[in-house]
Amino acid sequence: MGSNPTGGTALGGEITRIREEDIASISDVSSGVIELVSRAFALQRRRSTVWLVNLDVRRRNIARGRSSVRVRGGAVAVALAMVVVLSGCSGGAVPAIGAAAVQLDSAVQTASLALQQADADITFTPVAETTLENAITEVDDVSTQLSETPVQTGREQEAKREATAVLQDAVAVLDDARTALQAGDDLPDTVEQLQQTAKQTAELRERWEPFS
Amino acid sequence: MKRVLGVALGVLTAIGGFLDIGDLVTNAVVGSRFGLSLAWVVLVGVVGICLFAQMSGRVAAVSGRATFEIIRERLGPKAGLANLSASFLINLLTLTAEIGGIALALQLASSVSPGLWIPVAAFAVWLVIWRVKFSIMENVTGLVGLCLIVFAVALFLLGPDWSKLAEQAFAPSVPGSESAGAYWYYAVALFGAAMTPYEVFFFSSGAVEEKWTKKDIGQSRINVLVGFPLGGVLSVAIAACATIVLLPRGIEVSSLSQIVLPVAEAGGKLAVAFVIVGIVAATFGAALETTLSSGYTLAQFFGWSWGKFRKPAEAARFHVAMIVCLLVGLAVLATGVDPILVTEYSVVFSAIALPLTYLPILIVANDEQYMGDARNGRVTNAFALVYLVIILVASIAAIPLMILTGAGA
Repeated sequence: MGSNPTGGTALGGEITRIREEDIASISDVSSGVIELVSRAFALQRRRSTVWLVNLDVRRRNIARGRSSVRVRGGAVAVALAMVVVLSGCSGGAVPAIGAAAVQLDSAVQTASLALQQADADITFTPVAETTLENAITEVDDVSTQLSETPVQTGREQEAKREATAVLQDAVAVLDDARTALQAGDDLPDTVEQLQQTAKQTAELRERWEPFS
Repeated sequence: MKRVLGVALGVLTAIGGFLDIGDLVTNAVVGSRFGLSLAWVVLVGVVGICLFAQMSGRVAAVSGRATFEIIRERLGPKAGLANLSASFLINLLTLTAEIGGIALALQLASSVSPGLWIPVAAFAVWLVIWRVKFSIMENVTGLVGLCLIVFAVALFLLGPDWSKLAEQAFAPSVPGSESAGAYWYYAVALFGAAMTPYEVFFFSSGAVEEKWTKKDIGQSRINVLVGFPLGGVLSVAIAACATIVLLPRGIEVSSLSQIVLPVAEAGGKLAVAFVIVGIVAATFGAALETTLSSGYTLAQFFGWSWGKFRKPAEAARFHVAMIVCLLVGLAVLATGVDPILVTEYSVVFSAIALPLTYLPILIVANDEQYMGDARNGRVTNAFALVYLVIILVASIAAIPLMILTGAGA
């Protein structure tokens, strides 16, 4: 380690030595790379041990101070980058309503399929109930999202009004479906009602999804 | 004959044990949104996990010690700590997701809220780890997990347009309704789900638990090279079922109950019964593995006595660590966080932590001092280096993709 002709760091010198002495004799490139990384790790470990044993407290504190400044600088840079990226990602009301329309349609289509399966007796009631419950929870989420979306332009107001109307219909129909399923009522009427609502949500999605 | 049966059992448990909540959810989400256009990622992930799992098993069989123990010794405490931090935190997140997954699967069978099932699931996991033998635990969950083959059966029963599915899989493209960012975000997630770090640590520690020797390397290789790819086929079958039934209806998977819908459509109540049992077994088996992996990594790093082959009193800290991990998982789920959301984050963070997990394994598997003449060959090393590049790219891309796409929204 003492003879480092390039005058670089000890680690750099070791890597150079490995490259010169060993790599030439290793025909397999991949084994060479692994060997190199492996030796670098081993050297780093030896250096760490020596560092821990020999370094005095003052030098360690100085090193810590520098390192914490570097860490703080890095954190500020990452935070700034994230702010830039996030501000670039934020959209207006119409994309948010488009996304809500997609989520609403997905939930209603799910509920519709689950109820059709329950009606056809090809699934167990707990599975249909759970699926319906999850769909209702998802529609609730959409409702919250929609109510919290601020609108300014006329187009945004139109989108929100339309989505809210379809959403309210969906909430009512899903609630009826849950009641019917829990009560063990005949399901064909509820299934048909849900399919009609699913058509509406699909139309809403078709109209607003491209803007999401 | 006994040896053949042993190999068959190993392969079957490897298939049944391959899938966990991360694979189930991510494949279904991907199928419902991107069709089979991300099936290639499953292939890449399966080859990767086969490569590193067999490497890890070989290290354990030759040295008689678990991979993590050697990493700590070979690369020193700093590199070992980096490896431990990454693997352990992801493991904890995965454990949380698995317990939530058990509760969600039990909800499908009972309509009882998952909030009530979560403590029951965590207690059952602890009880099995405390009382049941390692081999019984592994074989039973793996074999019952085979019920998930119902996804492959459902795929045939659905009678899809095979040429259309093949076109999606072999000529992949980003669907018009999705952004390129979301496509690559889910590619990273799927890769992370296939290569979850706990699998290799569990595999190598399991080898020590079962006292593998050099003689067992062949069998472990068959288990991995046959069992895992067949498990990968099941992953693709889940995505394909979602592609056929959910994608045309515009259903985007956000809950476990939606994953069951295509199976019900194809095979009715019997198929649904199989899939629920399979999901419970897969998530329960993975919860056992992640809990044990948490104990293994901590104990192996700190040099504690570990292993299920020892009585709990002889490996007290190992067992306490696992109990604490279960309680942490329980506490996280008690906040009311959606287990599916935890799962989605766990697979992405898995991808981020992959380099810290797999690079040390590669270094150890090349160390002559530990491995002797069972060191990695040139072909294995060449593949492993290619995979390290892929892993690094996935790891670096994961967070920017997550931010840019709003976690794939």
